[in-house]
Amino acid sequence: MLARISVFLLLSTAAVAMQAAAPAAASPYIYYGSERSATKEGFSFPESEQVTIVIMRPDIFVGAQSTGGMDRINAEWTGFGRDNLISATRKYLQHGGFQASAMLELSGDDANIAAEYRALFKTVTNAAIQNSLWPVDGLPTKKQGFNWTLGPSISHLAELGGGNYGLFLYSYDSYSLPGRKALEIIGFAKGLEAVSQPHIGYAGLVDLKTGELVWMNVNVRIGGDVRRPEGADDRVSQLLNNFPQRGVAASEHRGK
Amino acid sequence: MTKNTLLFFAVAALMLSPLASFGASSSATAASRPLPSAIGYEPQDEDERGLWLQMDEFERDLKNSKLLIKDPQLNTYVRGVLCRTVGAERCGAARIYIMRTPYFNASMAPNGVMMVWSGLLLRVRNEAELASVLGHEFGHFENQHSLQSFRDIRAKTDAIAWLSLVPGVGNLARFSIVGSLFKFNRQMEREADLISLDYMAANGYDPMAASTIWGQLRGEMDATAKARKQRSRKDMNFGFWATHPNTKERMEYLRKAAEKKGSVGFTDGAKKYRKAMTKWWPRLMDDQIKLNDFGATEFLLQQLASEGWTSDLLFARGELYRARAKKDDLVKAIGFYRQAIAKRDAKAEVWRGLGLALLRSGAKVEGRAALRKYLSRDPEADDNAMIALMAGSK
Repeated sequence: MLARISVFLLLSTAAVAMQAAAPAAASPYIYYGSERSATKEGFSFPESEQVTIVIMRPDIFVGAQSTGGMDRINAEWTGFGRDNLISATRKYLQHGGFQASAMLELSGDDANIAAEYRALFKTVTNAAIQNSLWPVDGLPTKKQGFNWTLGPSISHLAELGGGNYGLFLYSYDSYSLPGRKALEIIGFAKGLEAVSQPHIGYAGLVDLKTGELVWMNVNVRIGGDVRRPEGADDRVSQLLNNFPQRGVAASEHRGK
Repeated sequence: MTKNTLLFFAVAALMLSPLASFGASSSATAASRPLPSAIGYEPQDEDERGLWLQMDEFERDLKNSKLLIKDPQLNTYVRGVLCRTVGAERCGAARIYIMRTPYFNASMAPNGVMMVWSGLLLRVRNEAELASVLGHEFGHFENQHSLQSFRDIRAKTDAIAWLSLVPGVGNLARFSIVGSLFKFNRQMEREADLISLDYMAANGYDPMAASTIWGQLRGEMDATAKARKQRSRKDMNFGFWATHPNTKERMEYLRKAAEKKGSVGFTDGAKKYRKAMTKWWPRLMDDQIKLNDFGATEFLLQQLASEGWTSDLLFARGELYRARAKKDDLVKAIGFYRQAIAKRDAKAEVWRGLGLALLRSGAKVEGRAALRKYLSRDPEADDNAMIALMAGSK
């Protein structure tokens, strides 16, 4: 997913570079609609108890794309981006009547467990994207409804984070450097396709008691510039589009 | 291996500067810049900060990897070899992660993450050979090869992008730029090889070990090929596309360079190495057997047994032959298990192997007796219930 320095890069670069035409390989996301979301049928937040949402450490990449299409992560932007994303999310959730807290930095066995769930979340949400949100050739049993879980052992994360729901965030931005922009303009004039500036985000809400993925939203052309606080507000409002509201039960909701 | 494990390795193997490129697989030295090995070194510009951040994120996951060998003794030992090789004042910049991966490789990232695969520990025969690999990786690190490589690729792909818009320039120009990418990588590998030799000679490790290691690997590739009735991959030359110099070339230029360093006052630390690995070799050999590479495993066993066959080595050989189970293999396996038992210090698993091999060759009574012996010697064994079922009642 991310641009990796190295031999992999070397070999894949060679492969891409040897292709005759386009300035860059087209992102597969271009062929999708740009946003989809889903909520588990019948889901609503419990009325009687306080709802605390733990914001997991966001998985974030903010970088820039060179003329040849190579991504470089920008440490400063990514650092700001992560902080901005957490505070904007906390603000957004509090505005919606939730308690919100960021997951603490963990160590030892606790860190191992959190890392396992972060990996599991990625795997499950990728499956959900392929089979429920954009079910091109999805699993037959997953075509109806939205029914995905990380398993009940996740309750340990509830203890660690002190909340009853976990919010996982993913954000990927790559801005074009001047050379890339120039190439895009010239390439466009010559009728070549150079897909640039990927801005992708997704978010998922997990019930930390049951492990169920109760809501998710994916946007492959997301707006808002996470490098600035006000941009991050904009980003979060798009990332958490269709987020379940308190006191409203989700009916059949799936789609754009 | 699970998908995640594979993915983990794909990422790990690909993003760093690995030692070798079998199936997987990194000039200029700026004298005025601070070395990354200096205490308190910070990345110097945006490119370097970006690479570091990416590797710091990778390291967060690495720390939680199930494949990490945490044994403090082994970690202290490997760190000790690195420190002796490159000097105590510089080795502090490296954070060593020993990974339970049964292949020959090591790698180092720009932020100081050094990964050593357990298959390397099974294959090197002494400290000097280990030092040559650790020194090579450290050479990549100190000379910022990942960063150089990143910039080289970026500059050249930018050029390719522009060229693709110019009619008539076409494939040939692009082809030559791609070729120069690979050439640059090979140059850095060679540079790291020679830096390692300097470290070794300066700190008393026999520099010839850097060459012999490639000789051993070539021998192993021959053994794999022979058992599989294939052509050996040892002289496979990817030429234009090669990321590393080929093994023969490396073996030879390293030998020539080592000869110039003389041969006085060097040690290879073979005894110390064997002692440090005693506990781990049986486990690493078990991983190796599961690779289903009969030729290479037999080759490695012979190599480890150069000082005589211990009960652990005989057991491993029994397991190897039992797993293949061709024509006479079971008979041979039974023989190896019995020789291991005759050594008097055989561990309980030897009786399990013997019992299973006997059962499979039709000797039911004898086989069951051996399995019961296994259970009585190790009543807490993980596979107790399953073996008990096979052992039956008396």
